This record gives sequence, C-alpha cells and structure tokens, in this order.
Amino acid sequence: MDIAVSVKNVCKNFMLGEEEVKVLKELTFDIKKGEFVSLMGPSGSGKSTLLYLIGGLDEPTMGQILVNNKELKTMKDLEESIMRRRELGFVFQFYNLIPNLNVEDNIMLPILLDGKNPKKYEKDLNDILKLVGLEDRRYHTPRELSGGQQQRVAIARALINDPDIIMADEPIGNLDSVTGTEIMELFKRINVEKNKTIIQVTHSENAAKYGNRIIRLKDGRIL
Amino acid sequence: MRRRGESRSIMGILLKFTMRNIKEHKFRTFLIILSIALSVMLFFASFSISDALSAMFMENIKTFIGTSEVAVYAGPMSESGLVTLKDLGEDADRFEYQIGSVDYSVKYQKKDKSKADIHLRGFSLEDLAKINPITLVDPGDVENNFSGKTAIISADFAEENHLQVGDSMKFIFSEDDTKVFRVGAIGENRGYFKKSFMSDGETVNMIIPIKTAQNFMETKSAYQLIYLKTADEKNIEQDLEFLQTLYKGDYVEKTITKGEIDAQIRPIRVPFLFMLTLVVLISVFIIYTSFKVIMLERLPILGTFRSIGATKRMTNTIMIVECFLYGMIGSVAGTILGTFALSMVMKVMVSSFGGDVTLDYPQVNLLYAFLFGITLSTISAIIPIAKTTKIPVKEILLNIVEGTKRKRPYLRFIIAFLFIIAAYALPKVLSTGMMAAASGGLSIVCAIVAAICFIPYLSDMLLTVSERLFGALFGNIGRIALKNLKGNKSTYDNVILLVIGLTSIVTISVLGDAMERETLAYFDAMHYDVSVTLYGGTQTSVQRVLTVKGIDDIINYEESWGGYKINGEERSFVSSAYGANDAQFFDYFQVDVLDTEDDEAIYEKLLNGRNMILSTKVQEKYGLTLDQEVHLETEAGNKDYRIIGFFNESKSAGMSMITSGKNVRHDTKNYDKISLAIRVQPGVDPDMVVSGIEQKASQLPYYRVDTLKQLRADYLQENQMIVTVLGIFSAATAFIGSIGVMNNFMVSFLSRRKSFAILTSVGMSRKQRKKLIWIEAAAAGFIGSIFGLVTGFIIIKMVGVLLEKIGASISLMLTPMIVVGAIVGAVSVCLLASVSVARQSSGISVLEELKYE
Repeated sequence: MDIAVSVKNVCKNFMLGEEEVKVLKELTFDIKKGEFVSLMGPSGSGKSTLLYLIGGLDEPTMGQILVNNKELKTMKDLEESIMRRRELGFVFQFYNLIPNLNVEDNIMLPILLDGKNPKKYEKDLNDILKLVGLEDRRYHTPRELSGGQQQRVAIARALINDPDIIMADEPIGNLDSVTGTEIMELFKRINVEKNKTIIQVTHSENAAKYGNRIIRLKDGRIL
Repeated sequence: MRRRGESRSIMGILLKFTMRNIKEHKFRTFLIILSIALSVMLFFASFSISDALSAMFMENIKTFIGTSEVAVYAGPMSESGLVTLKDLGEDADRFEYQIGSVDYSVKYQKKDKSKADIHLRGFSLEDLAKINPITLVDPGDVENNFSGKTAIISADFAEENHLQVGDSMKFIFSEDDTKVFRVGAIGENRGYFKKSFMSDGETVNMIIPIKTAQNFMETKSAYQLIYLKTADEKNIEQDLEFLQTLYKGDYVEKTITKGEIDAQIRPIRVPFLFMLTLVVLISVFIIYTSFKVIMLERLPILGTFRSIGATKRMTNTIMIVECFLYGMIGSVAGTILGTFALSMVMKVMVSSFGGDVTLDYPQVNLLYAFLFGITLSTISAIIPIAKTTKIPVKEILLNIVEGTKRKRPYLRFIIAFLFIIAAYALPKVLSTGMMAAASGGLSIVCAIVAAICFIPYLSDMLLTVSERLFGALFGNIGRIALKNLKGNKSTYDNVILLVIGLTSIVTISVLGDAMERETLAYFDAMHYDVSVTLYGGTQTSVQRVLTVKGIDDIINYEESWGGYKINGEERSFVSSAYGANDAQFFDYFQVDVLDTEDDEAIYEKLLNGRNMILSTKVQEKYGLTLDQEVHLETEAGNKDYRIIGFFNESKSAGMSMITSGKNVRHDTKNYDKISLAIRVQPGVDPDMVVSGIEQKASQLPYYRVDTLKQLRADYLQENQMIVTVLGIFSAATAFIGSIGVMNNFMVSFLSRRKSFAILTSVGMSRKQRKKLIWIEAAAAGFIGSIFGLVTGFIIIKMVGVLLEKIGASISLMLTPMIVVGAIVGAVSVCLLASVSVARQSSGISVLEELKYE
C-alpha cells in the first residue's frame, strides 16, 4: 500500500520565555493512503503541533516529514503552498472561515489561489455542496450559519481541489454531540466513498472510533 | 471608609492599566495626539488670522495716515490744489485733532551713487505727536529746534546708510534741484517709519518741519492734505456731513478705520474655516475610530474589572481621563504649533509685498484653541465609551458581545438624507449678506457628512462592479482582494479619510487653477502697457502725465467698483463698471460682443445714451435679455439702462458692465478719480515710463502707476500666496488623513491576521499574501480617489454657487491633471501605508492564529 505521510525522527522545540520546551520527541510513523487516522492525547501532548507540521504550516526542529513522497523541508514556500492547495485539505475546530465571504466564495478559495478559473469548477462545487448538505446556504455568510453548518463549509473547502489528504484539528470540538456525529459521519463517507486519507486530532474516543487507526501521544512521544 | 479606600485602589489599578496601554500603543497614541494637535493648530491659525491681519494692516496703514479717520483735499475746481485749516468753531470738540500736512517725493542719493525713493512728510512735532507719535532713539536737538532743512529718519534707514544725527543727506528734488538735509533725529521703526508692505516696502518716510515743506512747495500757509480724527468714531457720518459744509468744494473722505479693515479681512477667514472644518472632521473620525478600537481591545479587561467590583463610573472615568489627557497634550502642542503656523502664514501672505511682519492677536485665542482641543478629543471619544458602558458585564465576560450587529441599518441613510436636505435648504433659507457665506459654508460641510454616510454602500457597490476589472488585471488574487474589501469597516474608514483629504486638496487645487486662469484671461484682454489711477487729479494732471517721454498713446476711461445696485440688494449689480469715453477704449480693452457682426455700431450706441453691454455672467445671474431696460440704483439716483449686447469675459470675476464714461462719472459721482491706459513707444521700457509718471504725479494725495506686466505678476503672486497658504492647510489635512489611513491598514491587518492564516492554510503563498495586501491597498486608494473626486466635484460646484452669492463668480472645473493627481496620490498613500503591513505579514504564525480562539 502507498504511503501518504511519513514522519521520521521528528522533534519540535518551542521557546517559552527563556526556556526551551520540547513538544515533540523523535516521532516516527507512517500513514497509508486511504487510512483514517486519529491523533489522540491529553492537552499539551503535541498532537496539533504534529498535524500542523504534517500540513507544512510549521517546520520541525529536527527530522523529516514526507507527504506524498515529497520531503517538506526541501520545499520552498511556493511549492508548499501549491501542495496545500492541491494535495491537502484543512478543517479546524473553530471552522476558520473568512467572515465577510459567502459560503461559495469560502469554498472556492483554494481554486482561486491556484489561479484556476472558478467557472470550470461549478459542477464540483455543486457536488460538494450537495455532499455536505448546504446547497440552499451557498450565498450565506458564515455568521448566518450554525456551528455545524460552518464546519460543513470548512469540509467543503477542504474537498474542492480534490486533495489526497484531509487534516482535521478537533473538527467536532466546538459542536454539540448530535452535530458532531453528523460531521464524523460525513468524514467517514468522504474516507470510504472518495478514498481520502484523513488525519484528525481529537480528544473524543467516539470521534476516534470513526477512524481505522489511533496514534496516542503523551509528552511528545507515541505511546 | 473602607469602601473609599477600596475604590481608590481599583482606580489606581485602572489608571496603571491605562498608562501601560498607552505606553504599549505608542503609534496610536502619537496618531491621536497628532490629529488633535494639528486640528488645534489649524483652529488657532484660522481663528486668529483675521485678527492678526487686521492688526498688521492697521500698523501698516499708520505709515500713511497715522490715527486719522478723515482726510480733506482740494476739490476739482481748486486752482491751487491746496486746502487751508478751517476754524471748527463750536464743533471743535467733535474732533480730537485737525492737522495739515505737506508731502514731497524725492530721491536720496546714497554714497554708492544709487538712489532710494524718499517720501518727505511735513509735520510740526506737536502735530506728529497727535497723529502718529514717534519714539526717538536719538533725539538730537529737534525737541528744541525742529526747523530748516532738518529731517527725522528711521533707525533702519540710519543703519542701512550708516547715518547719525548731524550727518548730511543729499536729496534730488528734480533733475536740476538738489538739496542737502541734516539728520535731526533718529526714530524707532514704528508708525511712519515702519517698512510697509502696502507701499511695496521700498519707499521710506522721513519727517521734515511743516514750514520747510510749505516753503519748498510754495504753499504758504496752505496744505495738501488735512487729517482729522473724530472724538467718537460712531458719529463719523454726521462729522463728515459737517466737514463737507465747512470745506465746500473740497473732497472730504473717510480714511480707513479699523472697523472697515476688519470687514474687509473677515472674508479671508472663510476658506480657512472651511479647511478647519475638514480637519476637524478627519480628527473626529480618527479619534472616534481609535477609541472604538481601544474600547474593543480593553473590553475583556474592563469586564474583568467590573466583575471584581469596579463601577461603570470608575471605568468610564478612566477612559474619559485618557481622552482628556490626549486632548491636553494635543492642545498644548497644537497651540505652540498654531502660533508658529500663524507666523508662517503671515510671512507667506506679506512675502510678495516685502515689509515687516508683526504678529498680533488676542491672547484669549490661545485659550479658545486649548479648550477646542480638549472638547474635540472628549466629544470624539465619548460615543465609543458610552456604547461600551451599555454592554452587560455578563456578555463581556462570556465573550458574547454582538458588537458588529447593526440594530438600525437604515439609520445611516436617514442621517445622510437629513444632511442632504440641510445642504440644499440652508443656502435657500439664509441667502443674504454674511449669512449667505455662513450658510453656504455650512451646507458644504453637510454635503461632505452626507457623502461620508453613503460611503459604505457606495464602496460595496463600486467594489462589486470593479471585481471583474481587478480579476482581469490581477487574476484570482485581485478577485479575493476585492471580496476581502467588501463589507470591511477598515475599507470604509480608509475611503472616508481619503474622501475628506482629497476633497480639501481637490477644492483648493481647482480654486487655485481657476484663479490663475481667470487672472491670465483678464490681462490677455488688455492691450496696453501701463495703467494709471490718479485720485484728486485734474485734466492738468493728465496733461502733466502726457509730457512723460516714451508714451505712444493714451486713453482716459472710467471705472467704478460697487457704484451700481439693483432691486435694493446690498450687493452690487456688477463687480466693476467700465466707462468708455470713445471707441478707442475697445482697442485697449478687448470686448467681443456676442451675436453681432457690427461691433462698431454697438460701440457707437454705447457711447450715446444710457445703454450698456453686460458680461454673460451678469446676464445668466439676473436672467436678462437683449434690449431689456434695467432699473439701476446709483449715487445720483435711479437710472434706467438699456442692454444693447452681451460679452464673454473674465474681467472682475466675470461680473462687469460697460457703458459710456459720462454715465459712470455722473451716476457714481466718480469725479476725483482718473483712470488712464497707456501704450508706450516701441522699444521703450514701460518701467521708465512708470518712473516718469510717478515723478509727475507725486504731488497728488494718492496715485497708482503700474506696468501691466507688473500688475499681472502681482495678481498672480497674490493669488498664488493665498492658494499656497490654503494648500499648506489642505496638505496638513491630507497628511492627517494619510496617517489615519496607515493606522487603519495596521488595525485592519491585526484584526485579519487570522484570515491571512486561514488563507495560508488553504494554500496561499507568501508572495500571494503580499500581492493581496498591495492589491487591497491599491483598490482602497482607487475607490477613495473616485469618491474623493466625486465629493470634490460636488463641493466645488457648491463653492462656485457660494462665491457667486458673495459676488465673486469664478468658473470652477476639474482638470484631467487634478483627476490623475488625485488617483495617483490616493493609491500611493495607500500603498505606502501598506509597506509596514506587508512586512509584518511575513511573521504570521498560522498555528498561533488558527489554533487558539
């Protein structure tokens, strides 16, 4: 089976005032294509930091990260950005939508940033809106949507460029249990029907059950 | 007691917290203080300029007339051209003094053989002490013996020419008549000895004994001029009537009084107050938006303080103290800057004339400026503070404040429409005298406020329309940039700041352009070389002028300002009425009569009978038609004039009439003024002719001789001087606006750090982020410039109407240069303001921005 993400001896240190804090300590693991992996662990264990490192949004202090067999460290800003547009999709706990753009505009951002003609993606947009159940909310701004609906928009945005890997940082952490379940069902469908690799950070055992592997972290190490 | 102690400690903590915040936000604090300081500076300068100018003019006028209020000189029938002191009899107590004077213009030959113009003024020392006292720095022996060929000179002149009491001075009275005078005393550079910008700063006054002057002029016991000062200025009209009966056949005229100077100078305050209004608008806006940000930023902390027992009054007091503090510092800085600015403005205003600048204004203006600054700061900050007070503590603590939700979305529209109605109605309701100027100015301010109210809606509309254009120019990043700007409060704030700044610059530029254009057109229509005006002159004076070498041709014409009125209006029917004595007038003054091929016939008709031709601006203003008979009010009673033609011209701001010289002379009783237009022989320097005429006219009480070239340069310079000063004020306005724009970009960036992080997470590269920032800046500048130009266009139209109402009609238009300049300027300001934003954008940590809510 092909490897989607390969993490080798990754360390990440932060400066907290004068003191250096070791957040991740020599982590090594692989994630195969099509896997639905949950990163779990107590607060401060480094799971979100790990997710952002895999997404190229931060740099490891030491070690190697390969995404789709491309080493992030050797990539320039533009290459990393292009990879984020085409091969990765992010979903965050607080949705992170642009407040003054409507649902359609928010979803189409990766397309626009990639310099593509948004008109050619009309069909994809409609399909994704249908998948996330927001066809009738396409012209609404985020502040006119509920938390669950906003998270669906974030998922739709992550899917629009048809990336191989979706990364979700506590995607249901800010939602009630019913909505959370709906969102996790959606992720499961995306994983199964579209064969997307999903890496999620979660505190919830229930959410983790939707995946097929759990990586548990504690004090910066894999348990 | 305990409670008081407790509250004091909370106040102490609150104060400490506020001071720390001020320290942490140095740039914002600087911006607020700077905008208050500049507003106070402009307030002080605008408020004091008319007082300072009036004081300076009075000081300068003293070099001519001392403290006198009435001048008497020989009438047209007088053979000698002299007047004698009359016994005032029982009415002597109506006057403080009655003093006779004899003057003479000579040249002083300096040691290096160059010559200086000297005005010898004959007075007795007693009379001098009454009319214009001089403090002697070296009195010599004049107090005991002021007679013969003795002169009192100024300290400046003595220093420049290394003269001391007892030294000799050689004066050239005429080509073959030179006389040597002795320096009798040296006086301070005040009164008659002040270098006056009104006499071009070149002519020097000296005092000689009245008897000596009378001997030279062979006037015996008569005088050229008699000066009087009334015991009570309020009764001056009755006193003039009395003097007219006493001095039958002579001219009895008011000299200039302080009241008249004040009235003349008052209008100069209007453009400065207009600029001040714009600066106040910008400052209020900057302080208001800054305090909005301050309040938002401090909200959680203020909530925490409230939760532990601080009362609303405490938190409000702290915030009000903060804005009061800004007001105090800004006001102190502003008044200091204001005195400096006023002195600069005065220097610029008199620089074209030469002479000394004196800075004199009521000291209470400093207090007014200080109070203005504090009020400005407090009022601008009070709304954000009051709004925050209304938020329940629970909402603050749970972070569920719905600050962005507009409860009354149509309020802006309602306010805007109210201001539009006010802008439209004010000039209609208050349309007479000074009220017209005030209401006109107020309606302009209302129009600007209305425009500001509409800006959010109009900006969004323009952004939607421009999206395709920016998409085509800059690709998808261009589209994202415009989407980002839409609905963004910072964009509106920037556009508003740009609109106010540009409105001031556009209005002043358009006015400056128009004034220059009109001046040039005015002089282009005059086909002669030298202009002469002789007051108190007779035909003998004209004959004397004709003997000057180098004159080729000359015409005598009439000119009256304000001699004709209509419909009982206070304002004149035309700015100037010209009287042609013969058809040659039209060779000298180019007048193209409209809709006729036979100009000669019109001229012929004009010279005979009570006919007139009018400029098209007068025609448009009063809706007049050809052949219409117009009933005009004149000094000599009501007269009916028939309109026999119209012409296009920019003379006297376009409001003028031409009739026969006879009509103007009789109707306006314009007997003591002679206007001459002179052409010089080919190859002759007009300046030589001017010198010759000045020599011949030197015995007249007042005359003015200029080359047309010089007049044109003077007019342009005078216009330029006002435009330059107003330009400095408008640049200051735009500068404050630009700083506000810079602050807004930074505030906007800080509040959008998360948005930038989101965009990064979905694949925006650093280069794209920077491109986005630049495009957003350019687009905001572009939109600001478009609305600034539109608002500026509306304002110049309103200024045009206002000027017409106060009798100064100028056609104002936006030139392509101004349009391009405004767009380039606004875009450049926004791009410059974004430099630091672009730099800071590189340091965004996506993890920090996205992970923590």
